[in-house]
Amino acid sequence: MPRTGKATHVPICGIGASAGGVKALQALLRALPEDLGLAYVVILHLSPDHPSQMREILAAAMRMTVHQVTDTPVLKANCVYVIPPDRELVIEGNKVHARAFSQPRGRRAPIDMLFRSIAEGRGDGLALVLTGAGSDGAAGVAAIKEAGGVILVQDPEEAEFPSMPQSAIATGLADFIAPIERLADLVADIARSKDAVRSLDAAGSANDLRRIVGILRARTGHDFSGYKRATVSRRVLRRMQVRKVKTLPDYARLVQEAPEEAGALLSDMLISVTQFFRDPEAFETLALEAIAPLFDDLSEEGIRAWVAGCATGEEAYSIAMLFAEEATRRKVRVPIQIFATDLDDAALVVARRGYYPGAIEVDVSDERLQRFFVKEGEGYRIRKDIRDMVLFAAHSVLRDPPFLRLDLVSCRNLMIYVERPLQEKLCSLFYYGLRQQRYLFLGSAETADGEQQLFTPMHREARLYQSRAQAPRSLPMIAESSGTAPRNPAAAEVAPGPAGRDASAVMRHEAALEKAAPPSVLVDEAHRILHLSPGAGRYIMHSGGVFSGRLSSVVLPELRLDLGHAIERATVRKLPTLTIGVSAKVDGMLRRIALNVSPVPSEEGPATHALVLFLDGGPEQDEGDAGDADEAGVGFGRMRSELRSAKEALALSRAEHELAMQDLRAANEELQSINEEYRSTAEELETSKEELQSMNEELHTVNGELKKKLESISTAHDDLRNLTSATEIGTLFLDRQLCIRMFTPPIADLFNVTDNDIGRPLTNFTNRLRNRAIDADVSQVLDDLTPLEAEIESVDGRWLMMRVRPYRTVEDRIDGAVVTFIDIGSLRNAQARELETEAKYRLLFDAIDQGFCVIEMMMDDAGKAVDYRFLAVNRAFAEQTGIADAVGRTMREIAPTHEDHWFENYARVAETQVAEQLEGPAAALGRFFEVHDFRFGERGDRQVGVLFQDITDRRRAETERQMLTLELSHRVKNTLAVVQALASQTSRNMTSVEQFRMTFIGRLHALARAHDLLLATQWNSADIRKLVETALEMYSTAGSEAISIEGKGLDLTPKQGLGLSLMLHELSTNAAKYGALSTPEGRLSVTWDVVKTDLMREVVFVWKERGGPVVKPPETRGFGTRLIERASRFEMGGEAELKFEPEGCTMHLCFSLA
Amino acid sequence: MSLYPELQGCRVLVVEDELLVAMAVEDLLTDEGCDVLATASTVRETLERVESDGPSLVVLDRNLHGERTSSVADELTRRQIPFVVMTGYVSGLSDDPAMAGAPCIAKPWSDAGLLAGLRQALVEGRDRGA
Repeated sequence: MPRTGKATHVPICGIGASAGGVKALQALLRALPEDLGLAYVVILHLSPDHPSQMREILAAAMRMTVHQVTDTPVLKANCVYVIPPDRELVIEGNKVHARAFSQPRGRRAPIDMLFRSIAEGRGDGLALVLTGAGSDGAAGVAAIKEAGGVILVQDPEEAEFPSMPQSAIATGLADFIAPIERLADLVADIARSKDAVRSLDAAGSANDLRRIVGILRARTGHDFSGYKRATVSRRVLRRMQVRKVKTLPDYARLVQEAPEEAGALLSDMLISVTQFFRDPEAFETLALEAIAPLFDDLSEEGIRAWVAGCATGEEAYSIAMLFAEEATRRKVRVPIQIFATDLDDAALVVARRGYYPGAIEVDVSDERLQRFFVKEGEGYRIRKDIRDMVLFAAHSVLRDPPFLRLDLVSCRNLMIYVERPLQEKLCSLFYYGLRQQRYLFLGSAETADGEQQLFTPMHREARLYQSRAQAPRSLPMIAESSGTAPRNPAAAEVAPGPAGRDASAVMRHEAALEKAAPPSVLVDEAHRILHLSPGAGRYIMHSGGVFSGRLSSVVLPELRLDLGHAIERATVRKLPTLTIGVSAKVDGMLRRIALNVSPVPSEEGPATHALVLFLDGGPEQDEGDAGDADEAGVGFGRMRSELRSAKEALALSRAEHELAMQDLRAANEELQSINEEYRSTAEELETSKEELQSMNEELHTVNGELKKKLESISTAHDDLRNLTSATEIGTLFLDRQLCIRMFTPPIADLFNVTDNDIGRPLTNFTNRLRNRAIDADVSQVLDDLTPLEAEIESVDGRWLMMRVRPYRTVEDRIDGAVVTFIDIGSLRNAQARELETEAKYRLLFDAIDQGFCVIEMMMDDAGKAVDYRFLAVNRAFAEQTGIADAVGRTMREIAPTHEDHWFENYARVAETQVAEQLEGPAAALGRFFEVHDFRFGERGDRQVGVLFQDITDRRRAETERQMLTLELSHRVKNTLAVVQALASQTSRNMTSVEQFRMTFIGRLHALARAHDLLLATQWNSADIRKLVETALEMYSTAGSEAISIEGKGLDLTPKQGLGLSLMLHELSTNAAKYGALSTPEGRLSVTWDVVKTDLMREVVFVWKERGGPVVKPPETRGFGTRLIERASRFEMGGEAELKFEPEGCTMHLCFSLA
Repeated sequence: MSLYPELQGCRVLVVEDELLVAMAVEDLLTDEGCDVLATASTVRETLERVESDGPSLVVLDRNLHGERTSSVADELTRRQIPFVVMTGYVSGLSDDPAMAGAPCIAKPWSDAGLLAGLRQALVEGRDRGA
């Protein structure tokens, strides 16, 4: 990472807060000293639409300068930089830059964005996560920590909104969790120790670092000596800041003395930043160029992948998702096994949990979130199918045997931390684990380009490599052994002490030796060449035939015999040999060559190697020439010839020997090949053993997982049991075959089941429920998947609410049914009471003979009442209105012309809530109503209760009564007018008041008598006989025969009756005064008879007086005469003839009957 | 001793169904110097009398045997024959447009009131005619 000019950069303290953040920020910034030399960058979640007052608010709280970042200012120490609305802040060099959000609204995580940019641009820094909702910042703290920064989190107990601090803590990366007050102190301490740490001498620190790594290895067994120094130094400095240690030796002492610090340093060393689909383009390439081809060429085992250094699992799950997507695309089911390993147990716990904060929305597309995750609270849980593909195991890449037969190895951002040799070893390790022509996926800053013989680059940008088909496959030796103690503890501790002084002499000596040493070959006990020194090739001459690597077969033929012996001597008997020089043809020249063969102890066991040195004695003198020059005589000549012949014989026998050797060699070859076979078998066995070991490792992993799972299941089981016993609800779990899966204790009250009955069919058990086939209910629910509810009664009279629901697994599969029984005794009682009350009211409602209805007003858009709907009516309603089945219908439907005033009145009552009373006609119904209406329910309901009565009849009666009164008054007035007329007529011709009185009263009585008769027949008719008898009653004495009345009863009209009465009165008073009734001898006969003419019946009525005083016709026409004349015509509709004859008065009256 | 010279020689038709009342009114009018042509007690008879006798003044009972005499009033108005209405009803003349313009005499009546009404009807009728 580029760190140039770092010293001039102001260190940054990034502060993230959200809900409740203003108060927390004020408190924090107020508590911070002003001279820490930090630049504070503050991120809040602001509304993008409103200007922010943050700058002013914070500036008021403290003395440091507060800027709201609008462009790209250079960061200054002891200043505060606040995020503006609708922008995100990133660090660019020594500047802070405000830019538009790179993510759409809803997925923005400006705190993560800032933290990541600090980690990327600055390497270290301080990150504070304060109160807030959500999980922003959680991903960012990992980046900061990985880069060497320190993470401080507000204590969730204190935070107003604990969710954001909790998410940050859940990453396991927080260095300090404290209340605001304490956080400020910590920031101050860290800032000061940061200054001290920065001033450390880089060169002088190397030794201290080595020492710390050594201590760490001794303490934890993990060797980081192969890690890059920059990495180690960054992590150590970070720990020093956290522990506020100012020098490396002090820290080394701390690690040495405090085991927990060694653990903390280890876990810091293991931090790696990871995220879903980190480097999305690389993952796309991986999917296209590695994963897709894997599906083209599937082995029986399916696909096996290894994610080395998986940290918290995001990378492993990302790859699993890619596999799942490809499998779905191809519609195939392939067993896919991903081994995800890491050293860090804490990270593995997170990975196994598979639960990630909501901030992953930034990295994972919506589609993938939908498909591979389940939303849980603030975060997301990986779905089970993806989770099942991945096995997490604690495993050291450098120490433990690798996984085998792999199709893909992903090892991202591990190699960047280690030195080159270790990188090479890792590459060959991966090559060993991979099948041929399979894939290696590295991080963006890593390459396997140095391992061309093992891997072909497929895609350089994506760091995707393919293993070569033909390359030596060997398990590389990893320096780090599984042993506890370092193999060579001295090496690490070796001080560059005394040895340093002599180093140059030794090296010079070695170089000289190298130069002067004779050509040599190192061979094993089988004479195979292990190593040739430069120049040794001159002594090798391959003869025809099968190629051999045996030195004794390919060395110059002249040397073969001696060499064979010498090697045997050296390897078997461990004795050195120096052969006598033999002349041999080297590079076309005869030279005298001697061999020095000495045993060399092998590193690999008891077998001994042999070092063969070719000692060159210089060119050989030609024998012929030598002979010619010899002057020594015949003796010498003979000896020479003998010697020559001996030599020849020797050469002959040598040739024979050589032949024999050839045969032996062939035999040996055969043995050798058999041996080879054995060896290869042994190698295969070795490989199998390694595979078994790997398998064992896998099983261990699986076992570990299962154990973890078992633990969480047992916890879940405990929770469930406590829950069920706490709720006291009878719950019964059934599988699809209606066998009992689980039940809670209250179920035992209803069914005859015990814990031993789990797994048996429900139908085997009797139950204490009345009339209910539970199995049929459950079957029905399983068929149509609709939950069922029913109230059922137990045999002991309890009422229960039974609910049957399908049992859905997390994958939304129906796997049986859940039946719950809830005691609803009290509920039912309440319901029954309610029903009873309702029935009473209903009875009342229906019993009243007044009409009652509840209506709901219907308004138009302008709020004017246009109609109303009947919601309820009582029994009298139909009778009172003539409307049947009104409920549900509206008034306009029933009677479109119903008067508007009704609607207006009801609307007003619904609106004002004030009851009203009114009367009015309802013409459409032909009735007249008296109405009492009042609000019903709430105002918004617009309901009105209407109590009313049809008062049509009452009104009619009233009208009639009024008319009657009027008529009565009329009649009275008329009668008074008649009386008036009578009085005024009578008053004429009267001489005295007494006379008037007598006459008037008499006439009035006659009138009254006639009225009495008429009243007896309801003013319908008057009987003529009664009329006559009444008129003459006062004149007839008992037994007297003075008056005779003859004629049958006839009905006269009232008018006729009245007229006749008046006439008879006048006649009788006259008779009593002057006529037949004035003397005892006088006789009066009244007769009448009916005469029928063509058209009508006529009555002939005769009044005849006889025997009275002599009658003289009156001188003037008096009232009586005029009345008789007029009445006969006017009232009787007939004709009267009055005769005043001397023997008596007579009247003939003819009139017709009605 | 006539109080109202205008009534002298007036040809009066009395329309009244109550015999005694009719006789009393006749007596009064005769005393006043009127020429009482006849007394009619039904609507039909009245209309015939109006046609045949040509009265110059009519005393009209509002009700004859329960029958309203509006038609008679209409006919009289048409013929421009002045008339007074006698009635026992306290109110309600105004709802009968045919009688609305005529003087109304309430039963029981006062002789002076009846005569004043007759005179008023005569004078107004003359004014209208003129």
